[in-house]
Amino acid sequence: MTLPSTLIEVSRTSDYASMKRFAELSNDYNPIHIDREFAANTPMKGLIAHGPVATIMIWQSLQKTLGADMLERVSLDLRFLKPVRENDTATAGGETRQGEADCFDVWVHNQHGDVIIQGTARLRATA
Amino acid sequence: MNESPEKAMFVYDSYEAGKVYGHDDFKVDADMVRRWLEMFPEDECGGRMPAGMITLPQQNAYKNVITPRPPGHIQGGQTFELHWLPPIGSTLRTEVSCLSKEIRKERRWVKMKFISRDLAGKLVFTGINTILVPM
Repeated sequence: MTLPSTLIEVSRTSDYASMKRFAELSNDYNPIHIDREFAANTPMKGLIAHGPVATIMIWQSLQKTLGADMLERVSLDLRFLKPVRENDTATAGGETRQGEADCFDVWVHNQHGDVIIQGTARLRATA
Repeated sequence: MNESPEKAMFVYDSYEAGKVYGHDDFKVDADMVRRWLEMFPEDECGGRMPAGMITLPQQNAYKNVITPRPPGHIQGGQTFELHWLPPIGSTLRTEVSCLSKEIRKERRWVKMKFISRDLAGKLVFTGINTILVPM
């Protein structure tokens, strides 16, 4: 199978309501995601979205492009460079790595062009 | 009346590289998947666990096994090897261990490893979280 050169992009805005909703869904009530006063007094200086949400967007970008079955061959390696802040709109996507047909350089950007996540998605060979 | 001793707070010094801390079970139940798809409708996966949902058993295993923790943990990196999307109704058993720990630029980092299988032992995913532990 020839893989496409780019992944279909996925965008999402992390407003307070969606951050609270993900806290309920994941049962993760870490105050850095939902308590403005607590978050303001951390090195983050404000609310940040749950890290998994940006990771989920990369899975979505891969699924939209490759289909669900192909995901069972994917190895992700991600670095979280900046947080997604309240009301940020993040976009996930990726491109085939030069010279490596089975590897995508994947990323999540915010609306300012800041890199939120950088990493790779590799497709393992079938058994 | 006997009182059970309070468990000590799990701080940076508590982590031991190489130690397996235990496991946590996560049920991929239909209601959970329905609520997930309400928030992420594009994750529909034909009766299987949505791929992005693997973040939940990993996160829950850390939260439930490494406890009690001070608030404010921050994720610095993450790896996943997804091997199988199990059907709705499966229970995933996720083992939690500490891979390594180090202090860099006065920040305390730990790497936690996760291995998740269904109850028949079929591998679902492995992963490593790099976590900034609060001071």
